[in-house]
Amino acid sequence: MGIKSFDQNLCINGCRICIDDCPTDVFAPEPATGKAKAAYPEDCWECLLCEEECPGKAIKISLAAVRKLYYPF
Amino acid sequence: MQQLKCDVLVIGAGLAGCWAAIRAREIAQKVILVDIAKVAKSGKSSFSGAGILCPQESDDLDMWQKEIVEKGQYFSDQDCVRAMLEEQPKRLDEMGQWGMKFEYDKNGKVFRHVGLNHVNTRIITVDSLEMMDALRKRMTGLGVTFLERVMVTDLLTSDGASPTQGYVVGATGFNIRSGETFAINAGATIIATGGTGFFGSMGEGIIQAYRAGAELTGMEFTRAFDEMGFNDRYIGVHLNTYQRLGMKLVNAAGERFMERYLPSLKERGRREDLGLAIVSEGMQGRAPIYMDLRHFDEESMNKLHTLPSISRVVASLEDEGIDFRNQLVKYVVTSGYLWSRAGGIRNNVYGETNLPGLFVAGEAGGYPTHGTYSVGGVNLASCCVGGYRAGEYAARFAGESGTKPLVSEQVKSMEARALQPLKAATGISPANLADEIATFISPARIAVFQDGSTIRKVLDRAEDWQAKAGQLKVEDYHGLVKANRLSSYVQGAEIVYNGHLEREETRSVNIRIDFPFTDNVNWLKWIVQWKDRSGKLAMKKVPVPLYRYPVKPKEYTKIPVNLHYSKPEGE
Ligand code: SF4
Ligand code: SF4
Repeated sequence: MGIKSFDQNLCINGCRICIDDCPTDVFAPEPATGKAKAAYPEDCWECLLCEEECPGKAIKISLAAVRKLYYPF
Repeated sequence: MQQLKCDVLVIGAGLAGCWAAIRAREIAQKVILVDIAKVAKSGKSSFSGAGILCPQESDDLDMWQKEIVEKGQYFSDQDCVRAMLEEQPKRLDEMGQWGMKFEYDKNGKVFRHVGLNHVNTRIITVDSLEMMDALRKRMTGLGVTFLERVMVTDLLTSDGASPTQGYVVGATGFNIRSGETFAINAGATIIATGGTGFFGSMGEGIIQAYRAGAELTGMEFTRAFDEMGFNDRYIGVHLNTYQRLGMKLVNAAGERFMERYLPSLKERGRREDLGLAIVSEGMQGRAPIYMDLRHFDEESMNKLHTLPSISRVVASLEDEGIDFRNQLVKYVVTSGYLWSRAGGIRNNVYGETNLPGLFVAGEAGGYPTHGTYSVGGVNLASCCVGGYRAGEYAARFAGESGTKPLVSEQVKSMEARALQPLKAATGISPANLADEIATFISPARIAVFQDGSTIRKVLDRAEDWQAKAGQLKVEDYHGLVKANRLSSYVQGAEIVYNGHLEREETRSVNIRIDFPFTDNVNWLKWIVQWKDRSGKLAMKKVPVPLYRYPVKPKEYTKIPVNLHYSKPEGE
């Protein structure tokens, strides 16, 4: 699932931490509001960094993998 | 296109790359560190459990070396092992001076512990993100130039040819957000991009070096299964903590099956041996497999909830309704993805490759310290010492030979190649091709229990995948990253499976059901692979120079391996 919820109301205008730090570039700025948006949620690797660092507590990550998994049997 | 010039270019800002950049900048004037994400918040090391090997002066390093080399089945470059053991104390001291925190015991000494199944070696555990922060601050203080969110796509050479007969003189790349392209001209270039298997990385640094003419080694020790997970969908990282605390595995019949596979180690065995056993149980109809922690006492349960790194993961899993205290939790092996193990760009104790001007550090160099197995804590120590050494010798190299000019036609054609999937009017999406590959290589008969016939099947398909990788189509720069990665990955697959085919024995994750033995008579040899001048994959076998290494086998025999698998009737 990766990003379980993202509440843009809690995002602090101009903060950019998740945009700067996400290792897989999931977030992008929303030009109109200066807030973050989850532009590529399908690329989250569930590292939990954004959830931990977000000062607005806007992001909730689930460890359920968002990418497709394959099995040997 | 922006043109930049430097003495030393470091590609990849995990632990090895940061160390390389620091040491290079202590010697050379202009050092550029380029990373696809943010420096010090990128790569495996930043998110690892951060167990680091911690030798001290009073330790018997000969015994440490013996343990590492024996567990790596004598495939280690022992010059690298020795350098790591002797120099790691200095590297740890320096990281301490830069702000990395250690845990101390009550006598005020650095607290060391014994890693899982270790005998002589000792490790420390640090906070990985804090460690990386300390390195970032050090680099800022030294004046290393960061180039972030830039993906390197190719290495540049002095003769404009790939493979080259000359020098590596830098790299091309693009900003993954703005699309701005770069040509970076460097006196020496260090690849520290890691392997495959994390954050979507597909070993592209290794394959870029291969295209430029670098020799690779150990690529056959790549596995197509791993990443054990809970309840089919939760990725189960930090396996070794569960192991240390005493987890049990049971099959559908409630049997603790590891007793049959590894009678003495049981669930404390190597990650890949556990994976192998789980797949084997599944193939014999005894799935699902469960992890059982219900017998944990309060102390172990407590540790699970308080130890750094794993506690975050456990809290998150419990949040999703997984109840380790009272339930068996389904535990699965995933497959279909090539996880590098001990393979990469061939290098030596100076971090040198066969190409002048090209150096390597960390997992992209296949960790020459490891042999076929990573004793806990050796990977990160290898990044510190290997990174430092590559930084040092790359800076010295650049100082001696200066910066040779770029060939502008090569820059142009590489830029065009990298951007092609964005320009294409129609084509295949990277997700579709990745899915096709994963679906094909994930079944146990291919991903785990291989033989000559199944390896050839993959090689037959690999040609088709390469053709498709030339027809990728993406919508934006974010997608372009995936396209460039995937085209490296399919070249990598060809190299890996040719390596599997060549190595006619079972050793580590090179599993051959048609050669169910580890052959220490004929196969104490590294396989070296490179791209020859006609563009074809070439291979040679190089005996491990045990004659000059202190640690060697007592006897050279063929050792049978019980794979707990037999080929289906009539196949
Ligand atoms: S870290 Fe949180 S507050 Fe900051 S930009 Fe991201 S969502 Fe907004
Ligand atoms: S959990 Fe990690 S990978 Fe996923 S969005 Fe957050 S920072 Fe990015």
